[in-house]
Amino acid sequence: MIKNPWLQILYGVLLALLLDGLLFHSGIYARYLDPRSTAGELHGLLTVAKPKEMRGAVAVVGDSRIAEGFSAKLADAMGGGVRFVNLGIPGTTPRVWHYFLRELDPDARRFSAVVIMLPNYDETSKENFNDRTLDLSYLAPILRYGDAAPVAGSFDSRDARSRALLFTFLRGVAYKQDILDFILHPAERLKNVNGYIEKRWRAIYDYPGRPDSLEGVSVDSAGRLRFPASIKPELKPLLQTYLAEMHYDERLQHHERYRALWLGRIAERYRNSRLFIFQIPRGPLHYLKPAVAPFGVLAKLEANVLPADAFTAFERPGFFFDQLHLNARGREGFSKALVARILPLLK
Amino acid sequence: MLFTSLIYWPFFLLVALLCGLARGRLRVLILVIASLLFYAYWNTLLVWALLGFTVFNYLMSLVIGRSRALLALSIAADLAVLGFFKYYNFLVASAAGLFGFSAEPFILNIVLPVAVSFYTFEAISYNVDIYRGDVQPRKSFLDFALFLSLFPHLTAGPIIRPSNFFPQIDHGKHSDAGVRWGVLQIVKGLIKKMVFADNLAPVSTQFFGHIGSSPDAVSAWAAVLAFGLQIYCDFAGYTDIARGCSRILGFDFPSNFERPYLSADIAEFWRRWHISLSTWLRDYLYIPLGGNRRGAARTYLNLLIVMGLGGLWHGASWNFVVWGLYHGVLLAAHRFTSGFVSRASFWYSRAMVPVRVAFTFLLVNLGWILFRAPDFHASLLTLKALFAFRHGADYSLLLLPALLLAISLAWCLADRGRKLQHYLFEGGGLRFPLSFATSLLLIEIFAKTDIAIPFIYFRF
Repeated sequence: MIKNPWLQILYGVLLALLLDGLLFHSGIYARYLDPRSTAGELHGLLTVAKPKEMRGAVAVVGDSRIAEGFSAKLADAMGGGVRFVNLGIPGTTPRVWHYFLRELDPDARRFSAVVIMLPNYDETSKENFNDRTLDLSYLAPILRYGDAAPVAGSFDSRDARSRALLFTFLRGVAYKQDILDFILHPAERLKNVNGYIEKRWRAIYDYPGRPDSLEGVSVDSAGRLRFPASIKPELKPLLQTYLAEMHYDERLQHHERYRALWLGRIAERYRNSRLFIFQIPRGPLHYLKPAVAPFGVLAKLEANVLPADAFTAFERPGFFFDQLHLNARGREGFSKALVARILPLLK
Repeated sequence: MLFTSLIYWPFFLLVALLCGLARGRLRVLILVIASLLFYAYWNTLLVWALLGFTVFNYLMSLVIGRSRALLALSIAADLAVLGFFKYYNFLVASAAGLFGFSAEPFILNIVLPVAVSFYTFEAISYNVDIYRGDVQPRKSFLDFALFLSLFPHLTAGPIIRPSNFFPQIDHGKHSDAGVRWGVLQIVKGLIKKMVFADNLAPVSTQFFGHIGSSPDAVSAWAAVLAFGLQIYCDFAGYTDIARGCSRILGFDFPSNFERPYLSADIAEFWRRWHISLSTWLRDYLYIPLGGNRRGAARTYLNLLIVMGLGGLWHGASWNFVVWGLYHGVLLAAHRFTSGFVSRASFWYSRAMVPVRVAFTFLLVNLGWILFRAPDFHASLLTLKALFAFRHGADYSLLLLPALLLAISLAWCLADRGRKLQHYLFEGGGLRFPLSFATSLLLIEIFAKTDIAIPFIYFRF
C-alpha cells in the first residue's frame, strides 16, 4: 500500500507515460493514422518503402519538389537494372529526412545510393529552419525517447524546444487532432487506412506530372512580371512573391548552422555509402540569377555534391506549373538528367 | 506565467519543495519571493506597483484603528489606484462622448496591472475588517504581503478574506490528504480549462469576432452556449487549480463555484457563481448600503447598484455595466415574484426543478452575450440572430457545445455530492495513481495545445 501522496503522484506520472508509450510509441495507433496527414504520410511511406525489394535501390529524398519533379518509373526505365525510389514528402526538410532515413534504413545499407535535393545551394530565404516546428508533426511517429535532447536542442527558441520535448515524450499530444478526427469519423478512417498507402505508392510511381505550364511568363526590363493570358489568377501573387524573394541576397548564419547539423548527420550516417546532394531546379525564373557553387558547409561535406549548374537548364517557365514545382515536361527532363548524372558515378 | 504553461509546473514544484523543507517565517519569506517572481514574469515594473500598494495598505492598517477618516482615506487611495489603471481611459472616452469633445489628447497609454481588481478588493476588505474590529492588524509586513500576493490566487482569485487567511499562516494545513485533494483540484481545473474551455473558445470567438450584418440563429445559439460553458470552465478551472496549488502549499481557500449552472433560480446562481466576489459585494457594499432593511424599493435599488458596480468591476466598458444591471433586474424580479408565489406551489415542486434550472441557465446565458460581445451593436445583432432561423444553417456548429454540455451533465449526475471524484483521488494504494494517470492522458489527448488561450479573468 502506497501511502505517501508524492510517491502516488510520481507513480501516476510514470503510469501516464507508460500508457502513452503503449498506445502511441509502440506503433499500435500509428497503423490508424490518417494517411493524408503529415504524420500519416510519413508513416505510410515507411511502411511501403521498407520491403526487401527496395534493397539496393537509389533513394531520391526531398520535399514536394521531388514528389512532383522526379519520376522513379522513368528513372527505372533508363537505369539499366538500377531501381529508383521516390521519397519526396511534401513539406519536409533535412531534419525530417535524417530521422526518416534512420527509421527506413537503420544500418545505412539498404540503398545503393541516397540522393538528396537542396532547394538552393545559396540559401537566402528568411525562414529560420532551425525553428520549424512543423517538422515535429512529421517526426511524431518516428522519434524515440532518446531523441528528446538532440531534437529539442536543435531548435533555437524556447517554445519550440518545449514543444519538441513534449512531442517526443508524450506522443498523444502530437496525435491529438488525428485522434479527435478518428473518434468523430471512425468508419471513414478505417476505410481510408485500408490500402490507401499502397494505392498512393502505385499512383506516385505512375504519376506523369502536371500538364499545366508557366510558358510565357517573363520579366520585363523594369523587373516587372509579365503574364500570358492563360495564367491562372491565383498564381500571379505567388509568382510576385517568388520573384521578390529570388532577389534576397543576405546569407543568414542560421542556414549554415542548420545545414551543418542535419546534412552533417546524414553525411555521417552514409559516410561509407554513396551520398549525393544536388540543387533541384530552383524556380521558373532563376535563369535570371546565376547558380552559386557549393560553399561553406556544403563544400566540406563528405558527400558527392553535384555542380550547381547541373540542372539549371530546367529553370525556365516552360518546365514549371507554379513557382516551385516542375510540370510533366520538367519532370521528364529533370528525371532523365538526374539519372544520367548519377548512374556513371555509381559504377 | 499561466497555469497551463509548461514553465509554471516546475516553478510550482520547486516552491512546494522549498516550502516543505522550510519552517516558520522562512516559509512565508519563500512564498512572498516566489509570488513576486511569479508576478514579475508578466511585467517586472508592475511588481513595484504591487509592492508600493502593499506598503501603503500595510502602513494604513497599522494606524486605522477606529478612525473613519483614515479608513476613508485608505479606501479612496485604493480605489484611486484601481480607477486610474483600469477606468481612467474609459471615463475620459465616456465623458468625451457625453460632452462632445475629442478624447484623444487626454487618453494615456496605461498598462493595466494584472490582478489589480483582485488585490484592491482584498486590501479594502482588510482595512474595513480592522476598522470593524473583526481582525487585528498584522504586525508582520511579510504576512500582509503574502495575503495580497500569494501566487496561486494572485491573478484571478478567489478573493480571500483576512479572517480566513491569517490563521493559516500561523497554523498551516499540511497533510497527505491535503496534497491528494490539491492534486484532484488541479487535475479538475486543467480538464475544465484545457479540455472544455479551450476547445469551446474557437466556437465563440469565430462568431463574436466576426459578427456579420445578419448572423443566423444556429451559429448564434452555438456561440452563446459555447461561451456560457467556456467562461464557467475557464474561470472555475482557474479557481480549482488555484485552490489545489494553495492547498499543497498549506492554505485552504474557500470555494468559488458550486456547480452554478444547476441553480434553480437567479439568486441561487449568485450564491454559487464567483462566490468570493458576490459575498464581498454583499458584505462590503450591499449591507453597508442598507441591504434589504430599508424597504422594498430601496432593496431593489441596492441590488441594481451592487450588480451594476459588480459588472463594472469586470472591466471598463458599458457592456459590463449593463450586464451587471441585467443581473440586478433579474435578482430584483426574482425577489419581487418570490413575495407572492408560494413555495408550496407547483412552480417550486420537485418535478419543476429541471425546468427552473433550464430557465435560469437560459437567462444567464442570454446575459453572457453582453459580457462577450465587443459592443452594444454586436450584442443586439446577436440577440436578434437568436431568432433568425434560416434554411440550410450549419447545425454541426452545435455539436461540440452540445456534446460537452451533455458530458458535463452526465458527470454531475454520476458524481452527485462530489463523491465519485473524492473516491477516485482519496486514500492510499493504486486508485489515486490510476485516476491521476487517466486524467493526465485525457488532458494529453483532448487539451487544446496548438494555441495559447489566456484565462478570461486575467484581464479583470
